[in-house]
Parts: sequence; C-alpha cells; structure tokens
Amino acid sequence: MTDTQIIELILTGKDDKAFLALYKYFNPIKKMVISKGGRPEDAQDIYQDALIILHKKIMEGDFKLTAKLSTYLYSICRYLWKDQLKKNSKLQSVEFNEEIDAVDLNGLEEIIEKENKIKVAEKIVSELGERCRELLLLFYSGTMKLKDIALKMGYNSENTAKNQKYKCLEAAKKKLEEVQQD
Amino acid sequence: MRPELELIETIEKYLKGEMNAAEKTEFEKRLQNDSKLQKEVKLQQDIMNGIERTAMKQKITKAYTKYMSGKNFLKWGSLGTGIIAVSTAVLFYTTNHKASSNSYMQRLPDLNEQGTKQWSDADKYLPGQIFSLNTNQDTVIQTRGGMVLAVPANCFLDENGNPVTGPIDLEVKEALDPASMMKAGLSTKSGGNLLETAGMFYINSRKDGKSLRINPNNGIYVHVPSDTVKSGMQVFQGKRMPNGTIDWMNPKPLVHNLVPVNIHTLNFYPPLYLDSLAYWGKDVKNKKYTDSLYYSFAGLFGGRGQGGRQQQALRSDTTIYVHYYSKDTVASLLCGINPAKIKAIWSDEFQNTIISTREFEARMPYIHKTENEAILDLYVNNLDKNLSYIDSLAARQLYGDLKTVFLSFAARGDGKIAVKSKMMEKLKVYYDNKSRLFTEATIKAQQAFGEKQYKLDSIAMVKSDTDANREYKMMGKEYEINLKEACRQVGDPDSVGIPEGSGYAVLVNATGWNNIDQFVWESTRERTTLDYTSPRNGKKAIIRYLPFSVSINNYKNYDNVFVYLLPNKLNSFMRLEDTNGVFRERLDELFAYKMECVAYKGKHVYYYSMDDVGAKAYTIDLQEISMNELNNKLGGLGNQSQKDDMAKEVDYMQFQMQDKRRTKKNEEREALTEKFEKLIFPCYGESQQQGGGRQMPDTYK
Repeated sequence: MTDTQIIELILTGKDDKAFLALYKYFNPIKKMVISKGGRPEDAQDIYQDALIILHKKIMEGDFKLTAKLSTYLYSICRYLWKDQLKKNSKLQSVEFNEEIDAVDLNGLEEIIEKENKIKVAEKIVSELGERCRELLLLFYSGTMKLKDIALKMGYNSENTAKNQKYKCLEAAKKKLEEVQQD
Repeated sequence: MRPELELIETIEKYLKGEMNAAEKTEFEKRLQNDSKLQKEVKLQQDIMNGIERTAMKQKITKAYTKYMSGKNFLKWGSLGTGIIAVSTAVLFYTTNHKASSNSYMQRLPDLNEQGTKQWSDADKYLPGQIFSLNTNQDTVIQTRGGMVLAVPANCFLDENGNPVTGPIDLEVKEALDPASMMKAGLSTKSGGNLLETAGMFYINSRKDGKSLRINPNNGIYVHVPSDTVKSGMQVFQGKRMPNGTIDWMNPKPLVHNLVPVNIHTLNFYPPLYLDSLAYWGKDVKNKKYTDSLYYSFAGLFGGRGQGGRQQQALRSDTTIYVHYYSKDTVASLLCGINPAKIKAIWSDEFQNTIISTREFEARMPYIHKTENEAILDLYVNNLDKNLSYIDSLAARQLYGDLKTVFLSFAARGDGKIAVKSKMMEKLKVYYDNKSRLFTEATIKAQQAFGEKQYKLDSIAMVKSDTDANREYKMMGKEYEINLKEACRQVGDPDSVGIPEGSGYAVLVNATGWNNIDQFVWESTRERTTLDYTSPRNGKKAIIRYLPFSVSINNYKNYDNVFVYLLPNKLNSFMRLEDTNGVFRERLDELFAYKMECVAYKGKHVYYYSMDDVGAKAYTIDLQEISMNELNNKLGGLGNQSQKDDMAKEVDYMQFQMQDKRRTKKNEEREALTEKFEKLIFPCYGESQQQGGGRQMPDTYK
C-alpha cells in the first residue's frame, strides 16, 4: 500500500486498515527504541503515540507528505523517545546522532504537551467501570444510533441510556478534577 | 434529570457544536462571566479528548493484534514451557484420530485414540487441520478458527510412556461457532441437560500413524477465542455414543493460568498516584524517585508495632516535634496500606509468583481502595492458591461496591503459578520481616530528622526570643520617656510615680491616677500620637508620632534587607517591618533617629547609613561593602549597649537568613506530605472525625 493510499484511508475514516498497514513500519522503530535503552513496551507506547499524532495531523488537514510515512513516523518516535529520556535524567547519556531530520517536526513539542494532558484524561476514562467506558465510547465514536446503543447495552429506553451516559461523564469529570487539583 | 446532569448535557451540546446560533451566543455570554462554568467546560472537553484517545488506542491495539496474528507460527521462545490461558469456556473433546482433509466426509484411520473402532459423526464431518511440528522445541500454533495452542517441547509420550522425539503430526478439529457444530452433528448435551457452549475442539497427535499421549506433567495449553468471558464455564470431556453423538461428561472448572512477568514492570502504587505526580510535573519515569517518595510514608504506619507508641509519646511530650510529622498521624494510622508492605512484595523475591502477574496488578488499585491490609495479606499468604480463590476470600471481608469488584475478579477464574511450598514459607517470612524492618527504618529516619529540626527550632526560638526581649525593653524605655514628657506637659510631674526597672506590665494594667499612664502606654505601643487632656486642670499633653518611610532601590536584587532606626536617647534600636521593599515606621518626636540599612545577596553585603532622619519618605541606594567594614560601621554606633545589641542582631540576622531557607524547605516538605497523604491514603481527613473509617463502605464511593 502506498503512503497516499494510507492517508486516503485515514481521511475516509478507515482507521483500522490504515493502522494495520502502518504497523509494518513498527519493527525498525522498536529496534531503535530498544537500542536506546527502552523496553519493547516502551516502543509499543511510543509507536501508539506517534500513530495518534500522525492521525491527528492528517485529520486536521495540515499534513504534507514531504517524506515517506515510514521516515516521518521514525522521526516522531525518535523525537518522542528522546523527549522521554530527557525527562528521565539517568538515561540522558544515550546518544542520538542527528541523521535524518529531513522531516518537518515543527510544532511537535506543543502537540506532545497537549497529548500528555489528554493521556491523563484517557487514563481516567480507561479506569471507569467497564459499562461506563463502553457506553461513552459507543456514544462518541458516532457510528451507532442512540437507539441501537440503548439496545446493545440493555437499557430500557434511550433516555435511560442518555442519563446513564451523563452520569458516567460526571464521574469521569470528578475524577479528573481530583487529579488536577493542586 | 438532575440539574448537574442537565448542565453536562448543555456543555456537551456546546462542545459538539450542536447549539443553534442563539443558544450559542447565550451560552458563551454566560461562559464569559462564570469561572466555575469555564472550569466545567474545560474538564468536559478534557474528558471528551480522553474518550477520543481511548477509542483511537483501541483501534491501534486491534490493528496491532491483527498484525501480529498475521504471523501464524510463533516461537514459544524464552517463555519456555510457559502457559497460555484458556481464557474462555470450552468443551474439550478428547478423542484421537487422524484424518486427511478431504471433502465433507473425512477418511478415518482404523483405530481411535483409545484403540477402539468407535467414531462419532463429528469425527466424520469436521475437517482436520494437521500441523507438523518438532517435539524438541516449544511451538505455538494458531488454527483457522483462531484457537492458539502452546505445545511445550517433549510433551508427547508413546504407548509405553516414553517421550517421543522428532517430528510428529498434530491434528486439530474445531467447532467454535453454532454453524460448524450443527454441520458436524454435535450437540451440547450432558446427560439429559443442555449446555451453553463457547466451542468444541478435538486434538490428537500421531507419529507414524500411531496415537500418542500427552504428557500429563507437560500439557498443551489451549486458548479459545471468545468475545465475552462468562463465569462458571467448565471443560467437559467428550464420550462417543453408539448412535454417533458425543455426550459431554466430567466437567472441570476452567483455570486461567497466570504468566509471570518481571515484577518491576508492574505498577502497585495506589490509583492516581503516578497520574497525579505526572500532573504535578514530577518525573514519573524515574522509579527510584517515585518509589522513595511513596515508601517514605511507611513511617506513618508505626502505630501497629512498638515504633508507633514511641512516636505517639513524642507527640505528647513536645509540640514542635510533631510538627515534622503529619498533624494527622494518628488518623492516618488507621487507614490505607502501609507502603512498606508494598515495598516488600514489589521485589525480586516475589518474581514468578502470583504477585508478579498482570492479573494481580489489576487487583492492586482495588486492594488500595479497601484500605485494609488484611486483604493484601490474603494474597501474599496464599501464593500457592488460585487467584480467584483468594478473590472470593477477599470478597467475604468486604462490603458494597468493593465486594462486587472482588466477586467479579473471582469469576474470572484466574489461576496460579506453581510455587513450591518451602519457597512459600520463606517468602512469607521475608514479607513480614521486610515490611516491619522498613517501617522501623523509616520511622527512625524521620525521628532523626525531626530531632534535628527540633534542635534548630529551639535555637531559632531562643534567638528570636532575645530579639523580642530587646524590642520589648526598648518599648518600655520609650514609654518611660513619653510618660515623663506627658506629665510635664500637663504640669504634674510628680503625680505619677515611675518605678525603676521592668515594671511596665504593672503600670499598663493598673488604672493609675487619671489614667495618664494608660494613655501613654497605648500611644507608645501603637505608636500613635498622644493627645491627652487632664481632667483635673484641663491641660493638654501631646506627643506626636510622625510617619517615616524608606524605599530601597532594586530591592528585588537582594536576598534580604534589614532597616534599623537608632533613637538617640535610648540604648537600643528598632528593626522596621519590610513590606515589599518599603519600610515604614512612626517616629517619636521626642527622639532623633539614625538609620542603618544592611542587605545581603549571596555572600555580598550592602550598606547604607543616614544620621538624623526626619518624618519623610526616603528612597535610597545601597553600597556594597565588606563584612569587616560592616562590623566596623555597626561597631562604631551609639553607646556600648547599642553596640552589643547590634552585634547580636547581626548574628541573629545571619542566622535567620539561613534558617529561613530551612523553615521554608520544611514548610514545603510538609505541604507535599499532606498532598500525598490525601492521595495515598484516601480516608485521610475523613477518619479524623470518624476515628478511622475503614469499615465504612461509604468511604469508598
């Protein structure tokens, strides 16, 4: 699959296929992370983050294909990992040679910072009860009608489902507020 | 709907852009002036972003799983004779036989795995999948239906019970969905009862056409795919019946065996601990840091042993000492899991036990939520039991939501990791000792720190006492002079006797003759102008206090600035209060004052001096001088008593500067401690009133 095709998949909402295709670039990145003191899980995390960033950039419409997607992802991952090592002072000595920065990484720092904040919220969503999480995901993925969601989740009426959804949102907000309180 | 929920609905409409123009304008107007609403909108936006990211992550994870399962044969590799979970219900059908896959009617060998000629319909109609594998190595196989089989090396025995080496054929038949079950004529009957099924499969292996047995010590682990995991599922063995059907018998509970992982990659912290740290900008990737911070709270738990009594005794003896502990130490003793206990299990000694599994990690947040160490102890003391069994023990001790949580853990049927019982005993002892020792050590360290701080505090107190004494003495002298003058002005110098020495307190409290002394004392204390009319002869006494101030240029550049006024008639001096670089005082018109300014920045000293200051607002620039020069300048001031006091003062200032850093650090430390206590021990604060809310199910909500 060509890069243009992958981007086309993302733009038309076929994320599953796009991500599957993009995973073929994972191995060299995994090697890179491991060679710089990371664990396989770190590589996995970093790659997921990079995919989300790529996805966002493409959806926002300001993505220009100046290099191959594989190169782009590699550069983002390298940046992310470097960033993480920087935060983790004891591994600061790992050397990165600045080979390929043909890729435009402008504004990446800002995105990462934003994503890190979102990650906190993500964690909270993931720690909600299973039903709450599923309900919210179904609602906001936008692929299912309210009626079908109520049916699938076994609620008596659309209203009950809706009400329940707001309760879940409320719980999540409360938890987030707890975490954010200084 | 509750008003809170309605608000959430409104915010959601706004965030999703579902408001019409009028609603939107109205809402935005509201939003502008309502900071609470802004916060709610922000929180909700964050959560929605979080949901979006969760959905995205799910997609990516799915893609990854798909990507990985595209690779059919995986090496079992370093996990060795590890374990794959049967994570779902299966109907297990042990029959044996080899079939070449061929049309819908399978060709069957003469004898089945039991050496008889009996075959069922299913044998005849289900196509077999044959995998050739080498018994010398561990192999993982994925079938067309998605079953995963982990076949350890040397897991087959021949008819004489000897291990088989070299290549063998493994045949799998599967009926995982209703359609294939029906096509094969399979039923889900056990005796007369109907079963709910999540799939049926058949495994047999042959070498050179002869059936092999599976080594009971070295079994094959089978993972059957399923969307939902139901509790209470069991494995049934199939028995071929004369009419061609299979009856299912000998049900055995499913056990989801656990895979140990490196214990240091797991997270046993209380829920939200790392998230909050991350939010506060701490380095959460540095486990050394996060550990030491967390474990440092172990000292609070001394109350369960002797250490605690010691600590409590100290609390009542000296008030300051307690200052360095949490103010609520006693309350904290009653709730939460002692971090020392976590430290004890989060160690290499517990590698390869149920503790070092993802499954146990998943329980850990809830164990923290129980705030009950007995629950943790259940797991640690039963390393040889199935996790699900321990879950049910835990559920018995719990109430409400948490009970439900542990019951649902129990329903997962998570199993165990074989640990030899001798090893187990050793681990138990290790756990007990280690957590006790660590708690004691933490308390000791904190006590040592507390004692040291106490000593420093005492020194600071003595010094500041001296300083306060000097000021008080000075005020008394000033009062004396003021009173004399006031008496002179009302023309009655003899009417009030002024005792010598330190009799001011007596004078203040006594309602002396005409109360002139009282008025003068108040005027002196408050440094306000005295305007007194004698009721006896109508004469007035007026002593003015006039405002004076001095501002220091580049005040922000200095670490500390001190400004002194030295009145000519007194043997002392006054230090002025610093309000952001401006020093104000009211001058007694009876005195002439000299001003001395001293400032410090790191090791540099700055100085300014002015004789005979008036009731004005000054702005001054300080000049750098050496410490020696400063001592000379200050030493040359006024009379002997002023000189001595000034020398003491310089010493005190320098001490105070250093002490400021220390006390500030202590304050920060305390604030941080409090913040973390709330986080690590959720009942913190609540139990203060309740005297320990551990048994109250409401505290968890």
